[in-house]
Amino acid sequence: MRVLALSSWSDLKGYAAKFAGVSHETLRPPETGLVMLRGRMGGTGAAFNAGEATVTRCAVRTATGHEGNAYVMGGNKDHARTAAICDALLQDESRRTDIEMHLIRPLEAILMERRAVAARKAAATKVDFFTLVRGEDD
Amino acid sequence: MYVAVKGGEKAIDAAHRLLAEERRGDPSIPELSLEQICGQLTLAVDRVMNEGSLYDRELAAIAIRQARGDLIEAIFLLRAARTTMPRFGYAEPLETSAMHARRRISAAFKDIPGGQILGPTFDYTHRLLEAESTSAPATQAEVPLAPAMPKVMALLGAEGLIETPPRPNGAPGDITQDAVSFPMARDQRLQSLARGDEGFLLALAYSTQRGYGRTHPFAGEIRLGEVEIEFVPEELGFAVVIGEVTLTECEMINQFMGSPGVPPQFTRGYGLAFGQSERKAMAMALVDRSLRAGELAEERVAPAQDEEFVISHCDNVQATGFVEHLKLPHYVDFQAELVLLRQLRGRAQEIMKEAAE
Amino acid sequence: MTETAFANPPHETARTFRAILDAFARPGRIIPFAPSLAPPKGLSPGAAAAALTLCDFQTPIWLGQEVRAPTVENYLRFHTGASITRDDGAAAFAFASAVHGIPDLSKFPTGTHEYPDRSATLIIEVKTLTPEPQIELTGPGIETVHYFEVTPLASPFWNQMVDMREAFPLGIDVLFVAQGAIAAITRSTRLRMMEAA
Repeated sequence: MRVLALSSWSDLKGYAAKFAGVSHETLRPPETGLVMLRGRMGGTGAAFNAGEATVTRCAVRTATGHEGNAYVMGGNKDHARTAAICDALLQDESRRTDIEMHLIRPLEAILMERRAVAARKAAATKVDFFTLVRGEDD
Repeated sequence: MYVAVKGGEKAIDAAHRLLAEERRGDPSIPELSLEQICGQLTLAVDRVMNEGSLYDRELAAIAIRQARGDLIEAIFLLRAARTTMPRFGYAEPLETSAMHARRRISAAFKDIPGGQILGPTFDYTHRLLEAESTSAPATQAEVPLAPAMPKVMALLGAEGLIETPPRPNGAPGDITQDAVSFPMARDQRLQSLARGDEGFLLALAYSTQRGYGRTHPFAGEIRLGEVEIEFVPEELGFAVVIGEVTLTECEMINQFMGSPGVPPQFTRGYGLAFGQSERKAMAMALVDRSLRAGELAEERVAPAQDEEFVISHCDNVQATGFVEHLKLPHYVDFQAELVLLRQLRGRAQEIMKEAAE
Repeated sequence: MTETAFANPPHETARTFRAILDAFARPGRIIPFAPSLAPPKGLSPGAAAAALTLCDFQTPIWLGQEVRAPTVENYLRFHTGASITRDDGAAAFAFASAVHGIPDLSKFPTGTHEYPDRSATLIIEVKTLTPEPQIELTGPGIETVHYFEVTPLASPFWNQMVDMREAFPLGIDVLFVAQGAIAAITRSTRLRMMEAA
């Protein structure tokens, strides 16, 4: 569910295209609401409410009776429905490996690559301190 | 006598149409797309999300476009939008120590584990206007940054030189659910400051540096990056990652002379803001610390130490509502004042006349 | 296996809310209400509609014996996000059925003087709601006097409600759900049992 939520809609749409067409019943239609985000004082201390974020949720049941659930930040209802369908397929033992191999792993690789590029760009801005020779000449 | 007056409907309608036309500008020039606003006016989007208290880049971009770039109006729009949505619940407290940092600096220690990472900053730019914007691709290092960088504050904490924030269990207060009363707890204060007006908090933070409630601050650590959000849906009963947010975190280190029972040690102020909002996070951290005056038994002498003053006036949606409502018809109120003033002047003139005779 | 809820939540919850609002605004008046819902066994469509409309993650739900079933609990948790509590003293909403017994009202929260709204709302399934002279109602929302009959609720239940009126503005509010109709009494409603004719 993590990868399904973190992936961009354009990436998910592409990779999920051949899975998401599965016939399903909507248990809960996509609905956008709010989740209050919480921080911690000093990063590690007591929690406080930092402000809300939009989240879209959806739940479906496939024809095989597997239920899938999605909570995805943002307001994209198609993303939430597709993620819920993929989640339902992941509950189906007979399809699980296929989905893992051809949907989750490629999406995860895209996420990791995106992170790595950001981390390499940031690393290029790391300061290399050097000390100039100071003081009196002998 | 009270006379209710109706009318103005046609004028209001025409004003809205005029506004819409002026908002759109020259129709021969393409309208700003939401992608352009999200991608190129990123920090405006961040500010609107912060003070609108809603993390949603797309809605913030819509608000900015609709408000013609008036960010306080956009913040108002976003706050209004949030009231139309149901609340699903509370996320798990986010872990900034697990942040995928893109910027991370300390002004207190030169050599920190992981190093000083400047990231996408305005600092060290020459502040020269560039009529043509450059778009050279960013440099990429061979070795990427480590995914989770250690917190600078942990260095001082190990020696006991700085306070360690307690980590109690239990739900924090929520100013969007419960009426606010003073004195506030620090959790409620931080929630208020997080949605507080950047300009107001900046001015207050500045005032503490100029001696109005001095707290001798150092920027212990500032980090910017992405943090994953976990949420426990009631029907699942376990935490799931629902997405990630970009955050700026600021840890201020402040001198503290000690008080009865507490030896001198460094204290901390904390700032956390959506997106890349460094000025906001820093101002929040400074004001958070100055508002802890009572807790640290410091003398409260300056505006930035006055909790009720700061918290009651930091929300720009409230502030603009009350200031701008003065534009709305107050004809009856003003008539009453006029009548009163005429009576007073009449009485005063009588008295002067009597005195002269 | 999770049952589906409203197919079009914004419209159906708005309609349900309107019906409930009308019921509470005019205590004792019988409001036609027949939502199209197929909740799990134990929960009537009317009670389910009320739960889907009124409950969320901040309103713990207590279920009476007759309503308590894992399928009902899962349904409510899934569709409302509310937690299910076994402690009637912690309930924001309580669902009971009068068909097999009379709920004991004594332990539900009645609010505090500072926050009278921090009280429980009861949703009680009943067999029938009819405008017969069993109970006489007066008070806010009733122009002169109003009568209604709730079967199978009898005097022990009404006596508790009458006693509770003493604590006003503290108290609980009750929504009765029958097949095809709802009616409500609020803490401000004055009740009188009519003598059996």
